[in-house]
Amino acid sequence: MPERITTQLLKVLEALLADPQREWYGLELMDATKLTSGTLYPILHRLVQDGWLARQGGQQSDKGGPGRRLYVLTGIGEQAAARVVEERRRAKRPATRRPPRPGAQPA
Amino acid sequence: MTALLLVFTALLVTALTGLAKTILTGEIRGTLSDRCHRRVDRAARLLPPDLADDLTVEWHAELTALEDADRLVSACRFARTLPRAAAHIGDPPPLRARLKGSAPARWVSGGIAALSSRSQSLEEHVFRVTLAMFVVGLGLTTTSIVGFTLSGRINPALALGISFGVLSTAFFVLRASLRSSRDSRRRRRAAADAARDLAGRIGHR
Repeated sequence: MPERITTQLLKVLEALLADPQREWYGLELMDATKLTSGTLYPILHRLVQDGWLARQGGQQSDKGGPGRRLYVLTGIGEQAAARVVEERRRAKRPATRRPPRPGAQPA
Repeated sequence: MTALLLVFTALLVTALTGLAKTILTGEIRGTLSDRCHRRVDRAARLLPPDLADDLTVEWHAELTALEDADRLVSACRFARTLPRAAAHIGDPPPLRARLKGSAPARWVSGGIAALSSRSQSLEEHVFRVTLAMFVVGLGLTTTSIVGFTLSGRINPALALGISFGVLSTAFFVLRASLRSSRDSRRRRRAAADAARDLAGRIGHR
């Protein structure tokens, strides 16, 4: 599991969870999350190291140059990411009722 | 005759301006593309050796994809923050890693890539100067010939001949320079690719 759950990491996880089977290019993830390459690639690297993402060789580019890489959520990654995103959502949800103060008399 | 000259000059100017614009746009695109790829090479030097080759290949490929999709501004934006990504991924900091002598293959890779891709060649500089002279010359020639013709100081047929001669000579010089500049750029890219291959082979040994 990543050491710190940052807003940027959550953005990436949410984008990946929108379609867990989808294979993403780094560029597509950049467009989807609006993160810069300087932010996105360290996150992807962390997720790959933690086994949440698999990094695969992609197709050859049109000009015959080196192939691009694809990122896809692993089974473990999908479950863990869903848990993290859900926990963060729950933590952010505002309390609907203020809990009663200890010792206070009910009206 | 004067009207014919004006029409001809206008057509010539339109065509040559279009041509110059196309060449200029191509040149700017080439320069930006080179700069982006150089930035990837620089970022690669900040990566740990076990990741450098793989990530460099990926980043070059993403850049090429953006260029193919005509998204040059996005390509520049993509390349701009790559050194930061590389610095984050490459932990411990690369300078310390280099001082400890832990990555000799990267020294070779970085050094050769820097040598092969850093500076522009003489041909490319010559092309730029020629292009600038061509654009300025085109403007001056057209203005002076049209001005002299309208004021009656010069025979329209002579003006037509002079303008045609000047502009066609300038065009051929520009074309030759463009070819030479393109060849030079191609050679520089090939040298950078060879440097990457060599560094990869050294790294795998």
